[in-house]
Amino acid sequence: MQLFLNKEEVKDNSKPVDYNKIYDTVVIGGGPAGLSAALYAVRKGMETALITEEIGGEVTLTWDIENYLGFPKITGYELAKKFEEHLRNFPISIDNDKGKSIKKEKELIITKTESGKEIKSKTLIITTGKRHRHLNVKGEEEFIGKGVVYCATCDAPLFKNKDVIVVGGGNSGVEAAIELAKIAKNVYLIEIMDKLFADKILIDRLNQFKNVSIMLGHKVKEIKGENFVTSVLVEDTKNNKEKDIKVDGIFVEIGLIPNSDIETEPKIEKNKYGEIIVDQYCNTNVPGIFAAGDVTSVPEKQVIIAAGEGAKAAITAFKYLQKQ
Amino acid sequence: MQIPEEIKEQVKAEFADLKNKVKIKLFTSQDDCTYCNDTEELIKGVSELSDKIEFESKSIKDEEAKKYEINLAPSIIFETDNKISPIRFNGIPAGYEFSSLIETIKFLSTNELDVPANIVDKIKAINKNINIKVFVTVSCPYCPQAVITGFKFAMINPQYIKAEMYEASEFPELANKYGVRAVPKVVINDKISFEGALPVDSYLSKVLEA
Repeated sequence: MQLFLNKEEVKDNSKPVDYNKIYDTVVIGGGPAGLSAALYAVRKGMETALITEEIGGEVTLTWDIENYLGFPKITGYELAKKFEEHLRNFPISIDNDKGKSIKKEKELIITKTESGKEIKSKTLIITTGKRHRHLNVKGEEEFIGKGVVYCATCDAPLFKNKDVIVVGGGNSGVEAAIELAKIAKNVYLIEIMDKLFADKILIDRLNQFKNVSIMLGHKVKEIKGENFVTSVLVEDTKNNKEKDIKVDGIFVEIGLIPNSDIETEPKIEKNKYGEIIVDQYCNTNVPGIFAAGDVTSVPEKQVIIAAGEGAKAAITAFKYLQKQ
Repeated sequence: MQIPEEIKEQVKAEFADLKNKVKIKLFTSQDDCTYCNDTEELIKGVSELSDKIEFESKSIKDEEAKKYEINLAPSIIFETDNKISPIRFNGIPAGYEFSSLIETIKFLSTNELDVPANIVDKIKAINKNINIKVFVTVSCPYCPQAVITGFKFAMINPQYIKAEMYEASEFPELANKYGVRAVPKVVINDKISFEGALPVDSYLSKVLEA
C-alpha cells in the first residue's frame, strides 16, 4: 500500500475565470493534452483560461504508468498531480465546469458551459479526451454501481473472494484481470477477437495465475441480476452457443470513445469514430479552433503523446493570434 | 506501515500552518484485525510530524470505546478543545485516504474549511440528526473528495451531523449490508445513497433529502 498526499509543492498562482474578459485562448478539458496546452499558452504570455470538470482526466484512473519519460514508475494520479502543480505555478485562470457549446462569430469564440456561463476568447483548444466505452447490452446501465464496473482501480478491492468477468483483452483489461486475480476467486477474461492485444509483458504476468480463465472469441450478450449482478450471458462467436456465467461483477475495459459531443457552430469535422479531425498542426476545419489529445484523430492514445499534442496546439494558437 | 522520508517532509510542510492542538485517538483490536498494527504505526508516525498533534492508542475493549460507541477496529477519532469531533475513520487511512487524514487534521487545527458562505448557511440550518457514511477503497482517487466533503459538513454543524469513512475491503459484512459494489458510496441516515464524488452543492442536496 502506498501513501498519496494531495499537496501543493510550488506556489499556486492560478486565479478564477473572468467572464467579462476576452481571453487569448480557452482550453476545454484538463487531461494531459489540456494541461500541456494551457502551460504552453500561458508561458507564451497568452491570457489563458482552462475549463475542466476534473484535473488529470482518465489518466488518474490508471494503475501504474511505466512509459512516461523521466518517471520509471508512477501512478496516474501522482503524475496528474505533478502536471497540475506545474501548471498552477503560472497565472492561469481555471474554472470547474464543462463546455456545452461553442459558437464562432466573426473572430470571437463564445463557449457556453454546462452551468450556463459564457466565456469569450480569440482562440479555443479542445482537449476533452475520451471516456469508457460501454458494452451497450441489456442490463448494463441498470447495474452500474451494482456490479458493472468502469473504474477497476477503485472497485477491484470490493470483489475479494468473488467471481468476476473482465471484458477486453487490451492492456487495460489484462491489467484489471491481473489485479483481480490476486484477490478474487475466479476471473473470466472475455475477448471478442481470437487473441489478446495487451503487451506481452502483461500477458505473461496474467498467465501465472491459476484462477483466470481466458475466453477468446466470446462476447457479452446480457448482464443479469436482481438488486446486484448475479450472472452474465456470453456467446461463443464461433458456434453461437450461449453460456450463463455466475459472477458478482463485470469489469468493462473495451476501450474509450471520444468526448466530442460538444455542439459547435460552424460544425467541427469528425471522422467515423467521432474523433475531431486535425492536421499535423492541430488545426480543425474552423480557423482559430484547435484540438489535441485523445479526442482527436491523431493515432495512439498515450499520456506522452497527448501532452506533446497539447503543446503543439498551443503553439499553433499562438502563431495564429500573431497573424491576426 | 512506515511513512517514507519524502512523504514525511511533505506532510511537515502541510502541517506548518497548524494552529490548535488535535488529539488523535486510535482504537485497535488484537483479534482478527488485518490493518491495526499498520494503522497504529502510520498514525503514530503522523503525530510525530507536528508538536500540535497528540496521539493515544486504546483497545476497543476499553471503556472509552464503549463511551464513543466504537465497535470496529481500527477506528480513529479526534479531539480538539476537549471536545470529540463529529468525524471518524473506520479502517486504515492509507493509499489515497492518507490525504483525507492529513486534510482532516488541518481542518480540525485551523478551522479553515473553504466552503462557500451560502453553503455554510444551509448546513448550519440543518436541525435534525444526520449520519453520513462514506465507503471507500484505498486505491480510489475519487474517494477522498467524498470523504472530505462529508467531514466538512459535520465540522460545520457538529451538533447534528456526524460523518464516517469506512474502508470497504476491511469490513466486507458492512459493505455487503449497504450494497457497496462501487466506491465512493455515500449513505445518509441509512436511507439515501449515491455513488461517486458529487460537487459540494449536489452532495448537500442529498443530505437535505434525508
